[in-house]
Amino acid sequence: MTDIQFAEIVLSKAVQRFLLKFYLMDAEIESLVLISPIVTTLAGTRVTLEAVCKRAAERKIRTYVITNSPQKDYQKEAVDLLMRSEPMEVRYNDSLHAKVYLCLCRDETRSFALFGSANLTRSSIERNIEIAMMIYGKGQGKDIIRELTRWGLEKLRMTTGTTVAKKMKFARG
Amino acid sequence: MEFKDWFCLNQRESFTIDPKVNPGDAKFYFGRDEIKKQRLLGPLRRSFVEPGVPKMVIHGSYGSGKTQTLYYLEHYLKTERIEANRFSARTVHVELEMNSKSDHKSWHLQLAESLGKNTVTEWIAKLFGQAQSLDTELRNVFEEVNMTEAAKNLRAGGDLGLLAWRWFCGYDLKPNELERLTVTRSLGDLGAGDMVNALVGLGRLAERNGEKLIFLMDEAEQFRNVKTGDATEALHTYLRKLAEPSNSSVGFIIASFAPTRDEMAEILIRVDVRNRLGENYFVEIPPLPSVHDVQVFLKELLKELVDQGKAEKKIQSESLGVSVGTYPFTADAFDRICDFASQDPTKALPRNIIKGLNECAISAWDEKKAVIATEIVDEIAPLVFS
Repeated sequence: MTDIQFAEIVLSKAVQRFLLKFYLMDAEIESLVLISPIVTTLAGTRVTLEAVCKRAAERKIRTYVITNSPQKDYQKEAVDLLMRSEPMEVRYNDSLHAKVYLCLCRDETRSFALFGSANLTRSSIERNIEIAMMIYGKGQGKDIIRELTRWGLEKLRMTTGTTVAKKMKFARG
Repeated sequence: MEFKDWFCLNQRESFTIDPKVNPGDAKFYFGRDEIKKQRLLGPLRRSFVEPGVPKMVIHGSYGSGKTQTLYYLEHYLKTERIEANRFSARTVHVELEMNSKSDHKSWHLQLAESLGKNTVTEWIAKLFGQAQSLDTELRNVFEEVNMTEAAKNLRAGGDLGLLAWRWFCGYDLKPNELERLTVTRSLGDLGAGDMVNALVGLGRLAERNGEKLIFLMDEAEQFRNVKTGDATEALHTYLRKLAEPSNSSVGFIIASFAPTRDEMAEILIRVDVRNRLGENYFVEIPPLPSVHDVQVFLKELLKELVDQGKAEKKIQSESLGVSVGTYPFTADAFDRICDFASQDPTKALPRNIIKGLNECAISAWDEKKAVIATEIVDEIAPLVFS
C-alpha cells in the first residue's frame, strides 16, 4: 500500500539509533548482522559494543560481524571483545567499504536494517557527517531487507577475500 | 574457486531457496508428497469444478514453507493443465499489511493495487476489440451501472482513466470527480459487499479474457493487528462475501502464520467462513514429522540444487568416498543433520533445514573441505535447531 512507511533517511546518530532499536526490541530476534569496515567499542555512547554483545548472548541471538582485519589498537580492542562473545561469528574482508546493519526477527515484519555511510564507531555517531537509510520490514521494505540479508549473510560471507576469524560456537545448557 | 563451484551447485549461488528472488525456485516442493498431492493439489483441482475457482487458507509456523507453498501452487496453476479449468490463471501476489484501524477498504485497496490499473485497462481494451458493443459487454460483466461507467472511463487514459482506477480502488472521491466519471457514489459507500462486487466484476472481466483471477495473499496474521470492532466486522464481511459460492470468478489462497488453526486471525475461522470454504480448504503446513521425512526432504533438495553430473565427477576424481545422493554430506553427516533436525519436531522446518545445510556448507568451504563431515554438523546444527 502506498501509505506504508518502510524507509526513512537518518541524518543523525544513525548507528546508535539502529543499536538502540535492537537493544529495546521486544520481538524475537533471530540474527544480528553488523557489516562495517571499522569497528570500535563505542565506549561513551548510549549503546556500547559490550552491551550489544551481552544482549545477544542473553537472548542467544546469532550475531555476524564482517569488518576489515583490525590494524589499529582501537579496532583490535573491539574485535577482541567480539572474539570473546557468543553466539558470534567474525569475518574479515579488507576490500569491505559497505556499511550495512541488519536486525532479523522471527516475525519478518519486525525486522529492520540500516545502510549508509556510517561505520560502527563513536566518531560516526558523534562527530562525522553521515547519512543512512533505515528500512523497516513492512511493504516493500521486506523485499529490501531480504535482498540485504542475502547479500550480507550469503554473498559477502562466501565471497573470495572474506576469511573467517572466529566461528560461532554453540554453548550447551 | 567460488562457493557454487566448490559444491557443484546447479546454476545458483547457494543452497538457499527463495522464489521471490529466483522465480525458478517456485517449482520446488520437497519431501511432502502427501500434503502436496492430497491436501493441496487435490482440493485445488476440485475447486475449479466447484465452486469454480480456488478458495483456500493455508497456515503453519514461521519457516514451515507457507510462502513457498503459495509460489508452488502458483507454479502449478500456471504450468499444469487442469482439465476442468478452461481458463489460464492470472495470479496476483499480495503481502497483506494491516494496522489497528485497517478495514475492508484497506484490504480492497491492497488487492486492487496489486492487480494493477494496467492489467484491467488491457482487459477492457481486449474486450473492446472483440465485442460488438463495449457498453453492453461491460454492463453484463459488472451488472451495476456505476461500475460499468467507471470501467468505461478506464479506457480513456490520462486523468480520467486514473480517476476511474481510483474509484475501483475504493478511494473517497469528491463530488466533482464523481460527476466527471458519471457515477453517483464512491465505491464502498454501500459497505464491504459493494467492494467485493466490484472485485468479482473484475474477475468476470478476467474471465472474458480467458483468465481466472486468483489472489495469493501472504501474511494474513496481519489481520490480528486490527483492533477496532467495526473494522473487524467489515473485514469479516469482505471475506465472507468473497467466500460465497456465488463468487466463481475471484479465487484466493490465503497464507497465515498459525501453528494451529485456532491461532489464526478470528475472522478467518468464523463458522460462516469455514462453512463457505469447506473444511478441506483449510490446510495446515506442519513441520516435517519424522527423521525419514527430513531425509526425504533433504535428498530431494540436494538432487535439485546440486548438479548431479558434476558432483559424480568430483566424487570420483577426488575419491571423496561419498554418495551423490547425499553429497556434499558424508553418509554419517547426512544422518546426523537429519537426526538433529528432527529432535524437536517444532524445529523440523524447511527454513531451518535449508539454513542448516547452507551454514554447514559455508563452514566446510571456510576450511577448504570438499565434503561436510560429522564434525561440521555437530558444530553447526545445534546453532540452528536448538
